[in-house]
Amino acid sequence: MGPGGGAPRAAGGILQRRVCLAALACAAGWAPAAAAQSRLGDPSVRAVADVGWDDNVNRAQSADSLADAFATLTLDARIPFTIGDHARLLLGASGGGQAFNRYDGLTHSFIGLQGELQHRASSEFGAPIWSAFLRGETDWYRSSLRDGYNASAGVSVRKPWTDRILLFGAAAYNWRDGRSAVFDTEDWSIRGNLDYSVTSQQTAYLGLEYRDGDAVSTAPATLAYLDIADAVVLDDVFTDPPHYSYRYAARTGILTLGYNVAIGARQALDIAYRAAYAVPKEQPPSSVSSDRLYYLVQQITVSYLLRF
Amino acid sequence: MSASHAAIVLLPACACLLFTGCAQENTGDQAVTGTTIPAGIDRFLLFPNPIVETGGGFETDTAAYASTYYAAIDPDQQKDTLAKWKTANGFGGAGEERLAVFRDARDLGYGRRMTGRRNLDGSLAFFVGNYWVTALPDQEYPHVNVDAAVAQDAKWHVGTNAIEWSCTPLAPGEDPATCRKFAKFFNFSSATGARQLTVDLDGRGQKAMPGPCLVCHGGRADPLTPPAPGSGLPRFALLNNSATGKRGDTQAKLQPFNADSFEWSSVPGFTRADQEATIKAFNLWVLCSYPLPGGGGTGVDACRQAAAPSEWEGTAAEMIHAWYGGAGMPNAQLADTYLPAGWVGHETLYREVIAPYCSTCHTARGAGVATGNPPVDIGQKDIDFSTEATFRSYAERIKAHVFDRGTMPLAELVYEEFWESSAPALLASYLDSVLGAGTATSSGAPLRPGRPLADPGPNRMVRLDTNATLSGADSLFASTYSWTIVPPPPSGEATIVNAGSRVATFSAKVEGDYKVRLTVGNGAQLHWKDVVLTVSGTFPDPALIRYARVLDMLRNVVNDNNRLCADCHRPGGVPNNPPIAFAAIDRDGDGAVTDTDDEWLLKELRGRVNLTEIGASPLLLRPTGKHHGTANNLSRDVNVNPNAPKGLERYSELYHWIVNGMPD
Repeated sequence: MGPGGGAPRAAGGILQRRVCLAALACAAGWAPAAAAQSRLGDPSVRAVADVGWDDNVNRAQSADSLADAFATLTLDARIPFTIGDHARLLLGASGGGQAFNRYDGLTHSFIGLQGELQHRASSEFGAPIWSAFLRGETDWYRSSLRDGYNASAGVSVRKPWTDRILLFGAAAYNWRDGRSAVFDTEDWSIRGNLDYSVTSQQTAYLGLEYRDGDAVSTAPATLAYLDIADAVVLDDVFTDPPHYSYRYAARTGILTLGYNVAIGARQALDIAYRAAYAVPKEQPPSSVSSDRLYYLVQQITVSYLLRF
Repeated sequence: MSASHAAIVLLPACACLLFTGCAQENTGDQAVTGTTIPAGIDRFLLFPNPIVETGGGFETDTAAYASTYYAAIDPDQQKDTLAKWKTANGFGGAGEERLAVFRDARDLGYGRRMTGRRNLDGSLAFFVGNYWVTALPDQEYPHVNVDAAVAQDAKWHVGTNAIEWSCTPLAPGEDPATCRKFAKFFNFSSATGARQLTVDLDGRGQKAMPGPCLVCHGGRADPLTPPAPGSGLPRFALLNNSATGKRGDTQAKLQPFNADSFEWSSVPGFTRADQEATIKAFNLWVLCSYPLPGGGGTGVDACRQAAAPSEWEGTAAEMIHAWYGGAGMPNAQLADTYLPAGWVGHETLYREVIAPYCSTCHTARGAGVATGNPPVDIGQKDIDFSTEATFRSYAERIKAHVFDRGTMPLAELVYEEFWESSAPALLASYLDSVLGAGTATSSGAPLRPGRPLADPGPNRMVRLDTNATLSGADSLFASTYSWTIVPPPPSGEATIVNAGSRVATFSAKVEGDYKVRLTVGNGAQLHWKDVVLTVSGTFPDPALIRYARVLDMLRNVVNDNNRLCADCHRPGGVPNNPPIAFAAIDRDGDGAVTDTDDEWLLKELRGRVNLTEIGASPLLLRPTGKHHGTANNLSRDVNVNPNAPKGLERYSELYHWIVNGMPD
C-alpha cells in the first residue's frame, strides 16, 4: 500500500544514477526500433488523477498515527507487441507525482518502466491470460531518506469467470533500495482481485493482498519498535516531535473495495477504500508492551481516469 | 531478428541493467559531520595516572589488576556470581530493600534498575541493572533507556554493577580483623550473572575493574605489590592512610542520588513522584556511610561513624542535607539548589560548570583535612572542590586536563555535554582570571584539546659535559619535534644530538643556564616551549642516579625546611597521613623489615609517577601546583624559591631518575 511512512525515493551515487539513466535510455531507444519491424499494436496512454485521505501515513500504532490528504497524478503509456498467435509483450512507461498536504516530505515524483509478457492459450471466453512481469521505478521524495528505486517481478493470471466477473491473481517479489537502510525493503506478495460488472458502465471490485516481508513504521522513540527493528533512522518527515523510522519483518494484509463508473468511452470515475493491517513477525516482550504491536491504515481515494 | 525476438532478448537485458545498476549507498544513514566536540587523548573512565607498565599499557587497566582487587575484597570467592553476591549481602532476608528505576542523565546515561538494601548491621548493598538502547542513530544515551529498565528488557541489558558497603572478613597475613565498612565494587554479566574482570561502561571498550567505578566514586588507583611471599601473586595496594587497614579499600565512597539530574519513566509506579520516597531512603542510607568528623551526629547523622584520621570527611553530606531542606532533611522531595558556602560570590561558575560537570565525582575525592595557616593539603582534600579557593588552587591542573589534554570531564557523556554547553567559555574565562589572560583562551575563545602542545619537561639541572636526556614524550598531539638552544651558544659550548627526534640528548662543556626550546608540529600547527637547563659540575651524572639515592633522599636528606620527606610521609595511625610512607617498614607482611620491603616501596613509588605526564607526577609536583612540601623542598625554579636552595637539585635528581626508567 502506497508510500507514507513506509515509502522511499531516491538519490544515490552519480555512477548509479548514470547507469539507471542508461538503462532507461536503453529501454526507450529500443521501442521505436522494434516498432519499425511491425506487429506493433496500438499504444495506449492513460492519465489518472487521484485525491485521497490516509489516516495513518506514518504506518504506526493507532496512538501514534498521523493522517494526511494527498493528490496524485500519473501518466501511463503502454505499447503492445504481438508475439506469435498466443502471446504478446506489453512495454510501458509511467511517471507522475504525489503531493501530501501536511507532511510535505512524503511528496514525491516518480518514473517507471515495465514489461509484461502475456500468454493466452486460446481466444475462447474464459481462457486465462498468464503473464510474467517486471517493473522498475525510481522515486524522488522531498524526504532525503526515502529516495530510491523499487522493483517488482512476478507472475499473474487474469480470467473471465462469467460475463460479469473477472478474476485476477498475482504473486510477486518486491524490493526497494533507499537512501536509508530502513527503506531497503524486500517482501513477497500474493494478491487476488475480483471485478464485478454491475452494468456495462459500472464495476465494483474487491481486492485482497498478503505481503510477507519488510514493513516500515515511523513513530517517536519507542522501546517496542526498537526491540523488533532491523534498522532505525531519525526520520526527516515527521520531525515534531522527533520520529524514527523502523524497519522490521511483518505480515501485511490489504483489503481493497472500489467502484468504477465509466463516463463515455475514455473517462471514468473511481472511488476506492483500502485498509492495510500489518503485524510484526516478532513481538516485543510482554514486559515492554502488553498490547500486540500492529498498525492499521485506512485510505479513501477518488480518482479520475482519462484514456487518450 | 523480428521485433518480437528483439523484445524477448532486450527486455530482460535492459531490466537487468536497470535493477542491478540502481543499487545505492545508504547515504541517509551517515552521521552528520562537523561536531563541536574536540578530541582529547581519549582516556575516558581511566585515572589521570593509570600507571604505565614497563612494557606499555596501563597497570590499572589489566585483568591482573581486576582479579587482584576481587581477591582482596572477596578472598573466599563468595561473591563471584550475582546470585552469590545477593546471598552474601542478605537480599531477601531481614532488613530493608527497595527498588528504584531512573536514567542518570548526568553520569553514564543508562537506564538503571537499582535494588538497594540496608541490613540490620547497617551494611548497604546496591545492585543495578544497566539498560542501554543503542539502536537510535542520533542519540547515544536516549531517554528510552529508562523504559528498557522499567520493562527489564533483556535486549538492552548491558550489565549489572554492584556496590556494597560492608566489612571484609579477616584474611590472616593479609588484612586485620577489624570491621570498618568500606565500599567494594563488582560487575556481573547480564547474560550469565558471572563476575567480570572488565566492564564497558561507555561503549568505548572494556576496561578493567574497578577503575571505571572508582574514578567517579572517589577511589584511588595505586599499583599492585610485587609478587607476595607464599602465593607468588601480587597483592592489592594497602594505603598508608587507610582507615580500615584493608587491602581492597580504595577509599571510594557511595555516591548520593541527585533525583534532579535523573530522567524518569511515565509508567505508573516508576514516575518520580512514585519513587521520591525511595530515593530519599537511599540518600539517607548513603549518608550513613559517610564518616563524620568528630562523630557524635544526631538525627539523620546519628548513624555516621566518626571519621578516622586522614579519612575523607563526608564532604558530600552537606549536599545531601541541602537537597532535603538542610540539617534534619525535613523535605520529602529532593530539590537541588545547593550552593556550598565556599562558592558564594561565584554562583554562575558553580551552577554552570562545577555542579553539572565536576562535583559529581570530585565531591567524593580527597582525604583528610587541610591544616595549618596557610593550609597544607596533605590528603588532597582540596580536590573535592568544595570551595572556590580549593578549585582555584587546582587551576593549573584544571587547565591541563580540560583544555590541553581533554581528559576531563572523565566520562564521555559528560565530556560531550560540557563541550556542547557554554561551560568551556565560562571556565576558560575563570582560569584566565586566575592564571593570566590568554592562558585558557585564544582570541577570547576557549582553547580546545587537540592542538599540538610542546612539553620539554621542567626546568632542571644537568651535569657538566655529560649526556642528559631531553624527552618530549609528554608533548601532546604532535608528529614533529625540533630541539634548539636559544640563543645559540658559542660553537662547541653546548650541543643537542638527535635534535629532530622526540627524545634527544643535551650536553654542555660550560656551566650556566641554557634555554632549550622544543617546537612540535602537527600539520600546519606549531607550538613551542622553553626549558632552562642549569649545567653544574657538581650535579650527579643522571645515568648514575639509582633507587638507593632516591631512598636516601626520601629518608635521610634534610630538606630546606629542616625536615625529612619521611617526617610527613610517616607510617599510618596518626592524623593527616599521606597515602604513602617512606619509612623502612614491613610492607610484605613477613614480620621482618628487609630489602624486599624496599622493593615493595619502589613499586609504590612507581604509582606516584605519572609516565603519561611526568611533570604531574605526585612524586614531583603536588597536584595543587604548590610544589612539593611545606617549604617548597622540591622546586622547579630556584629563583622563585630563594628559601629552597637545594630544591632544584633534588627535584632534578628525581626527574632524571624517572626519565631514565626509575632504575633500582
